[in-house]
Amino acid sequence: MLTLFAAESTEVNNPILPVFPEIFWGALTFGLLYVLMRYVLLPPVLRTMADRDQSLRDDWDAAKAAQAKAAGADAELANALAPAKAQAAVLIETARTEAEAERAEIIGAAQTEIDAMRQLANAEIDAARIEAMSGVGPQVADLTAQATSRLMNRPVDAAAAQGVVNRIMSERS
Amino acid sequence: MSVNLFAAESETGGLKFPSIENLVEWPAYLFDGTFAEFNKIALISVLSMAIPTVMFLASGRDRVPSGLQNVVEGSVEFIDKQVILPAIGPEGFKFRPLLLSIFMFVFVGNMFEVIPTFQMPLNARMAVPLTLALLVLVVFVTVGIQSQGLGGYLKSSLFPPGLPKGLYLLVTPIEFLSTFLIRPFSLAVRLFANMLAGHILLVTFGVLCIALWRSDFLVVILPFSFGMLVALTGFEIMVSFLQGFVFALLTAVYIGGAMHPHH
Repeated sequence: MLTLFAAESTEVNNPILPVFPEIFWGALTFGLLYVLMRYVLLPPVLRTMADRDQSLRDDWDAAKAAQAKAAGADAELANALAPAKAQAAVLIETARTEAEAERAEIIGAAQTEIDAMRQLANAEIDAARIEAMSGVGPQVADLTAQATSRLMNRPVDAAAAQGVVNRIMSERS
Repeated sequence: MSVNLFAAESETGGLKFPSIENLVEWPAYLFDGTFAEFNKIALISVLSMAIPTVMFLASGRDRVPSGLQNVVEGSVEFIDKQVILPAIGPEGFKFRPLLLSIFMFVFVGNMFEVIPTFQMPLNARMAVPLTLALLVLVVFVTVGIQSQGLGGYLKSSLFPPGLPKGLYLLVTPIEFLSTFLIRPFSLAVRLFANMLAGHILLVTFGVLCIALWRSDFLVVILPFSFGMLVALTGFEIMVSFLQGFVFALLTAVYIGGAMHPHH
């Protein structure tokens, strides 16, 4: 039969008062747990925890030492590189100055050459224009005289027309 | 001899609640009538010792803890940080085995309240709380005498400094009762009464559930009663832990007081 409650005792005990067998078993088992805890159970756990703490502390110290060493190496590298960097800066500045001067010289020479070429071309253009004008002038004067003569129905002096055309062309050029 | 499961319902159909003796007194399994009578309480005492032992022995020793090792190391750290350091200070670490044993023994013993087939907290019987409280009394008195000497300890315990001399006639007996009788008594009664009350509550709702299950119309109330039973079971788990913690903490406070009377 499945029982839910404790046995009904024929003796009437006060349920609040302690009974000796339970004190005996309670004291015995607690005493045993304490002895085991003190001498058997706890020491290895504490050792494991202490080892872990020590290991973490060692790793932390090693990491800090490595960090300091890396920082020292960085500083050493920076010190070693400083003269080279300064020298490189001087070289770069010199090269830049020289390149700038050379560029200005080349540009100046090219500009001079361009100016000369432009002047020469302008002279050639002027000469060509003058030559063209001198070639076309009599024909234009002739045409102008003929056209004017037809418009006015009377003869126009060719020399006078030539003079007028020459004057106009010289004004336009 | 025994009351069966459905005895919660009386012959007239009403609720028959078992007497308090039926809830906390258990028949002997072995050695009946001797000083070592072995009943359910004795079995729970043995299990309350065996379970922490097995837990500690079975826990791993890995650098990265997991599973049971977490529980064990967490318990040790809990006692260190929440009990020893606040109540005693770093010199209290030598009491770690005692305080950890008290915490584990009380907590595991209390947890049998909610373990099926047991459903009886070890500390709902006065024997174990009283034994532990007397042990605590012996420990803190011994620590006090070791730290201050017999005269110094009695002086610091019974004669609080800064009072007019005439008041010592009144204060010293009160301090004596407070330190050497009320402290262990209250320690034992606090644990015992809490666990007994929780046990009675769970039995009450358990009996109520049985009676409602067998009733005709009132069965509609059963879900509420069962819900309360479940909720109180969760509450009792919390109380089990809390009582273990409080017992260990007060032990540490008493030891700390005996070591440092002026703090």
